[in-house]
Amino acid sequence: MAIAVAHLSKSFPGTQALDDVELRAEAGEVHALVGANGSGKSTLVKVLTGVYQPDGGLITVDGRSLPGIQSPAEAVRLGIRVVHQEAPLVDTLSVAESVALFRGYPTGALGRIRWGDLTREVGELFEGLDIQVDPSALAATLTASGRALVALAIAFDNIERDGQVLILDEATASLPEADAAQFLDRVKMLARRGVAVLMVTHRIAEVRAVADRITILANGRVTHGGPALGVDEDFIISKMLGQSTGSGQTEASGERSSIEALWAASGRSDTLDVADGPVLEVSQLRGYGIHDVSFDLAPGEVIGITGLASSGIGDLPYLLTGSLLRSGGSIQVNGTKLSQRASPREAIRAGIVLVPADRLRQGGVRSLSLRDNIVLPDARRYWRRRAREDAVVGAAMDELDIEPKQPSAVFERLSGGNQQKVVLSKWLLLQPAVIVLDDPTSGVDPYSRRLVFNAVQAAARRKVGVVLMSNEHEQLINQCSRVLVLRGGAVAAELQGRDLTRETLARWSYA
Amino acid sequence: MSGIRGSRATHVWTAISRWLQEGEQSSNWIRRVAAILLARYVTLLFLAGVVIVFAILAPSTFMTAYNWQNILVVQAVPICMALAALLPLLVGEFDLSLGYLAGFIAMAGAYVSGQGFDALAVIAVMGVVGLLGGVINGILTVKFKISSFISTLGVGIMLSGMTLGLSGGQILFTGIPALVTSLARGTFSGIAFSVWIALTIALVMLYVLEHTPLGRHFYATGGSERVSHLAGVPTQRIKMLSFAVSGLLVGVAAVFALGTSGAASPAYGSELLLPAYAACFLGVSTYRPGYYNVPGTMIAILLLGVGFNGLGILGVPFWVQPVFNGAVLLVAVLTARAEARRVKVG
Repeated sequence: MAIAVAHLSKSFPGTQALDDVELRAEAGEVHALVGANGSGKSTLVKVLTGVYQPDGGLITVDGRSLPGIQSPAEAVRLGIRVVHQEAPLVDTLSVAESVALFRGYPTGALGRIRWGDLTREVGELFEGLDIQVDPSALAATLTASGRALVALAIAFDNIERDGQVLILDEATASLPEADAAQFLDRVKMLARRGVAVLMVTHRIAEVRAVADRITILANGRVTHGGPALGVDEDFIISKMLGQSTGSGQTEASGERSSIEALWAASGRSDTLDVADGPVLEVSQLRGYGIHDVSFDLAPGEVIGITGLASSGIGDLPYLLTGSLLRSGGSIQVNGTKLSQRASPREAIRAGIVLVPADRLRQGGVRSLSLRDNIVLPDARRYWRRRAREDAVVGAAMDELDIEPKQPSAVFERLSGGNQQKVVLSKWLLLQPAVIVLDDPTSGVDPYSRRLVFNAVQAAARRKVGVVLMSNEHEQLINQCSRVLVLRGGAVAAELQGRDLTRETLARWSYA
Repeated sequence: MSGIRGSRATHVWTAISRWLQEGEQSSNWIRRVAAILLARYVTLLFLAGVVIVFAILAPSTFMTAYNWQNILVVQAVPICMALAALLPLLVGEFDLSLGYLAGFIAMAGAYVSGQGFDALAVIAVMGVVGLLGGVINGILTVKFKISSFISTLGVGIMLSGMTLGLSGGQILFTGIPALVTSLARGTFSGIAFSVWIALTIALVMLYVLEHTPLGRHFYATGGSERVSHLAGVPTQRIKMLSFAVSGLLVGVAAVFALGTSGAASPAYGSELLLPAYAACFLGVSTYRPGYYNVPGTMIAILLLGVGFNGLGILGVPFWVQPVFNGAVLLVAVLTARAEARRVKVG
């Protein structure tokens, strides 16, 4: 069983989303699909899952050629299953019930649900996949990796019974690397049983680790297709940029700093005023999942913080920036102590800002335009100064290469990478002393990642302190001078120089 | 999801709920019973407290079989209304037309009675009108995708006008069939038929909601419509069904109301809305904390009913009654919020 597309095309008003696309995923192999946000890979996934109808071309599933898949239900009938980044769990129900929504409830007389049987069946399903999740747990209490594994189990459950093609649509984007590896092990196992797996991912390390073949899309066209063995990051990024975005590439790899232009446009001086000493002093911070965290951050330093979900790391960005109340310890930003009852407003005034992990719910106002999002925290500065506002929004779009170049574009319609660039420019414009980035690259394509980190590093060169929280260890090694590993709400290790490697990070996280 | 601003109250609440959760698995059975009572039946304790207070303050009148029959006999309408409010809440929708719909159906019933139709025809008309009202709410919300808050408010306001029109500005009381009045006034084992019927409806709903796939689909749709849709749950049909059955239950409530008073007033109805929602919200803290549920709602209705009755016996000034009801509503919303937080904290 294999799935293939030939000469596939699909256009929307104003864009050619897919243009003569060719791809073939064989049974028993993992096929990676890579491309920048907006390259057409989401459209391709939607065509393969029956959400969109192609304008032309053929889809071949299991030897049957079709001009298109009429509906999601038909995709399911054809044996195509998809795992999305967002696990299909109802937070208010138990895990077993969420699975039952898909597979049906076992019932007895009078239509009564046999709860014992349900828990047992789901337990067996999990056992078969070596997934350690309690079926009777409330879905809301699962960790991100637990959710992803249950999502896989739901898809897998269907595949075992009648499906043959598994599409992973950025299924690992919210997982820490080690958990993602565990997840991909199961996927590989599934492939070896004869399932064709099509994996959409932004993580190049994953492509190298599990993919047998790779297809790269740029602007709706296939720019590369072949074995995954031997392709490296530079090659993939160059193919992702295709031919038409040459200017973007020079900007991405160039050293030109985008920060001064932003600050100049908003009428600020081109350097940050920093007090003597560290820009951020955190001492014995306590609250929620954090028990004891202390560290200093020098002007212009990029510090990494990593840890498993159980380490309490999820609460740290909010404690640092005043959206969760700390129960003890002190935070001093650029010489100003944050009060115990600090609000985000007080924190921003002191000079510490947060780029949260959840862009749509916390990073930007989804229904507002790109322009309104960029000027939101400092609207007073632009009150009755439309020219300055235009200049600032224009500078942000140019310097961070935000697409589309339309200030009126609605935030939620942007791709993940462009949303992140909007959120980042919103905060950088304030000339903060410290910027806290919480998992800044989830759902962000490799090209946008480069732009994001270029801007961050440029800010660091202008003395902005950066706190980067991430579970992508390679990213931490590339971006940070030192990395703190959290465990049980406290700093378990501080790694730098030669000690800062993937192995040490993994060892300290899990030990 | 973190990122919500916490407070000391949150810390205290987290500590309490942790103590309660651990207590439910405790080997010490006293602690276990105490934890389960406090965590799941705190409204029951509250009810017991209210009963004790009234029993002490009015010993000769409050704790009599006659008075308890009085308390129960007036609960048939609130029970049906609260169950009608519960169904849309379960699937994540609101129905603000409930009160006006009840008033309109009662008026329609009285009108048809006045034309000389017999009991079965009157009851059938009232049921069908209720069902239709629910279906219209459902179509506006599900098919035309108007926020249920707005669609049901619009329908409700229209119904209030139609009630006035149907009544001609009069209270209608002629020709109400004997069967309709006896439903509300006749008794079995000292309790009104209407109350027995309402309790039966509640039991059936309890069974369907908690123990059948259909009922679980209601909860799943309310929990996440998108996920349920992706799982193949017919979420649109489930929502339509919730509005339709809700309308039907309002019809039943209107039959009981018409039977109790033997007349339909054009002013009747809108005052039924808030107590129904108060009962649903208060019910969230009971039986299955964090979820709208039937037993919790029933206990809440009893609590409100006992409060109403006891305050009346004590002869409090006329304005204390709504203050009490409003305070209970606020407490209900606060407990519901705290309980929702508990679900998120896990």
